[in-house]
Amino acid sequence: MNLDSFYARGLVEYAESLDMLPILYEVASGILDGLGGTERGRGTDALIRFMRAVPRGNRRSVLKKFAALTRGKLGIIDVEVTAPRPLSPEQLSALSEGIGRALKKKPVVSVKLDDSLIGGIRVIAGNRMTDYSIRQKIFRLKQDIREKVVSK
Amino acid sequence: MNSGLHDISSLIKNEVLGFIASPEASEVGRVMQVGDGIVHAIGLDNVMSGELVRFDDDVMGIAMNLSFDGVSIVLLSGMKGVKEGGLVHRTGRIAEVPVGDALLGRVVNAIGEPLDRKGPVGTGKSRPIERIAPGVLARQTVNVPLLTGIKAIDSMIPIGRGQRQLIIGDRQTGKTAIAIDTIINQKDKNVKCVYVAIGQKMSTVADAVKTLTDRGALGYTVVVAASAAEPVTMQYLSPYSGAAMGEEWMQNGGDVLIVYDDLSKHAVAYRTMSLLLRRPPGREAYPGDVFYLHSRLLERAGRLNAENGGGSITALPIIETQAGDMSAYIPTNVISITDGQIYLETEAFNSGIRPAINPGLSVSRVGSSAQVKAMKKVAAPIRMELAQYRELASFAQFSSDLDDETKSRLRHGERIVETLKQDQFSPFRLEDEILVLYATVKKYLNDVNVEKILSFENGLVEYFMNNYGGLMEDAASKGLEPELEEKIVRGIEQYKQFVREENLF
Repeated sequence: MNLDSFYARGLVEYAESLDMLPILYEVASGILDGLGGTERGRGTDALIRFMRAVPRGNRRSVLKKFAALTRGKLGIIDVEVTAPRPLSPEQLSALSEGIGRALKKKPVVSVKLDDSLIGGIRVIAGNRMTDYSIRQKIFRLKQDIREKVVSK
Repeated sequence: MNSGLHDISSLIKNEVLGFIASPEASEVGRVMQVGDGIVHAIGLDNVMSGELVRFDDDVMGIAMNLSFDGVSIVLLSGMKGVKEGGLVHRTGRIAEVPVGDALLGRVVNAIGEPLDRKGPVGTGKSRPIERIAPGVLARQTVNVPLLTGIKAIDSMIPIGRGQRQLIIGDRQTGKTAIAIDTIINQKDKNVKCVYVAIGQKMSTVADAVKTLTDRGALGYTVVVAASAAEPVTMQYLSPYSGAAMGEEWMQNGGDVLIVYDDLSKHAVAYRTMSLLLRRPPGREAYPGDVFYLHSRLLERAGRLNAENGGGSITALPIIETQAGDMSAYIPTNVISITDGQIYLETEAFNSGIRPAINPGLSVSRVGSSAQVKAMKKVAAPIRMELAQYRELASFAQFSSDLDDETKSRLRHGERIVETLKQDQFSPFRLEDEILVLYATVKKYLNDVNVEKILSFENGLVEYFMNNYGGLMEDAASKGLEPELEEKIVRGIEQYKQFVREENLF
C-alpha cells in the first residue's frame, strides 16, 4: 500500500468520526471535477484541516482515492455503458433504473460510443462487466470453433 | 473437397447453428500503467495470485503482486493492445499447458503453443503450470538406473530415475551435449523426454531440435522453448510448463527425463521480472524467493511409489558458472537442492578430455543405489584410482626418475582417463560400458598404446558381440558371477591375442 492510500483511508476514518462522510465526499468530488470546494463550510473546513497534513504534491491523488473509497461506502456505483450508437434518454433512464434495482445501489451512468461492438451494449458496473455485444458473441463463437477444430 | 475439409466445414456449420448467444459476465479492472511488460491495474478485487487475466486484443497476463492499491500483472506476450484506461478481465483460472502424448515430437512455447509449424497441439488435456510437488508418502527411493550412455557418468556419477542431477560448468564445456546425449540414449527405453530451453538463442534451440531429429530422439521428446527474444515471463514460466507436461506421464506411471537448459538464465529472467514488479532486491539483486523458485521446481521431480503408479521424473538442471565459480549465489542454491552434480571443467575440455567431467567435484548422492551390480563392482575403484593418478601426475611432471610402481600407476591412470573419453552422440550400451571398464580397471589395457585405446575399445566391443553374444547381457542382469567373469577374461585375452596376431594396434 502506498502513502496516498494510507492518507485516503485516514481521511475516510476522519470523515466517519465526524459523521461527515457524504459531505466530505461532495466537497472532494467538487474539487476533483473543478466545480467548487472553495466555498467555506463545515465540510470544507474539515477537509482543509486534514489536507494540511498531506504533502502538497500528493493531495489530488489522495482526494481521488478518498472519493473512490467513499463511493463504495455510500452505495454509489459508477456504471459505464458502451454502445455502438447513441442511446435515447428513455433507454438510458430505463437502463439506469434497472441497474440500480438489480445492484441495490445508486448508479452514476456514463455512456461511451464504440462502433466496433457492432450491436448490443456492454455494461461495466464497478468491477463487473456484462457484455451483451455482437462483437463478444462473435468472439465466443470463434473460440468455440477453434477449440473444436483443434481437439479434432 | 476432401473428407478432412468437409468434416471441418460441417463442424463449423453445426457450431454456428447450435450457438447459444448468452451474455458474458466477468470481473474487470482498469489498466493504470503499462511499461516493460508489466501492467498495473485497479479494480480486480477478487483476483488470485497467479491467475490468468485477459486484456483487449486477447493479450494474456498473470497477476503477480496483489496489493490494496491494485494488481501488478506480467504480460505473456507483447504490449500491443494494452493501453492505459483499457479493461482487464479475470479468467478465474491459473495458467495451464496442454499435456499428453500428442506433444511428443513437438516444439512448443512456455504456454504450449506450437512453434514448429506442425499445426495445433491437439492433446485435449491440460494441466496447471504451477503445482505442489508430491508429498513424502507418495514417493519411493530412487532404485532404477537412468542410463546416460556416457561411461564416465554411468560408472562414477550414476543417475537414478527420479533423481535431480545438476550439470554445472562454465560456458563451452559440454553441458548441453551431456543432456542431449542422455536424451538420445533413452531411445527404446520407454522414457519420455522434455527439453526446456530457457533464454537461449533460437539458432541454438534449432540445432538441438535438429540433433534430436537426426538421432531419432524427437519422437519421444517435447521441446519447450522460451528464447532470449521472448518476454521474461515466458522464460520464467517455461520450466514449470515442462514439469507440468512431464507430470502427466509420471502420474500415469511413466518415466520422464526433463532437462532444464539452463536455470542460471531462468534466475536472471526471474530477477528481471521481480525488479520490474518492484519486489525488493537481495543478494546479487535476486529477489528473496529465488531459492524457492528453483526448489519448488526441482521438488516436482521424483519417483512415485507403486500405489501412485510408480512413475518418475528425473531432472537434469543445467547451471552455467562464471570462471568456474561454484560458490556464486545461484550455483550454491541449486547444488544444495539437487541430489548431486556433474561438474565440467574448461581446462579438461581444452586438453581433450571430453566429457570434461571433474570426478573430484562431481558426485551423485542417490544414484549408486540405482546402479546395476556389475557396474557397481566394475566402477568401484575408478574414482580412487583417478584421484591417485591425478596426484601422482602433478608430482611426476617435475621428476624424471620414477620408480616402477609409480610408472605403473601413471600408465594405468592414463588409460582410465582415455577410456572415459567419449565422442558426442555416441552413447554406449550398459553391457559395453561394463566390458570396456572391466578391461580397463583390471589392467588389460595397460600394454595398449594410449592413442589406440578408443579403437581398441571399439574393437573389443565388436569382438564380444560377434563371439560372445549374450555374455555381457547376462553379466549386466545377473552381476559379475565367477563363471561369467572367467568367460569375460578369456574373451578379452583372446581379443588381445587376435590384435597381436593381426598386428592391428
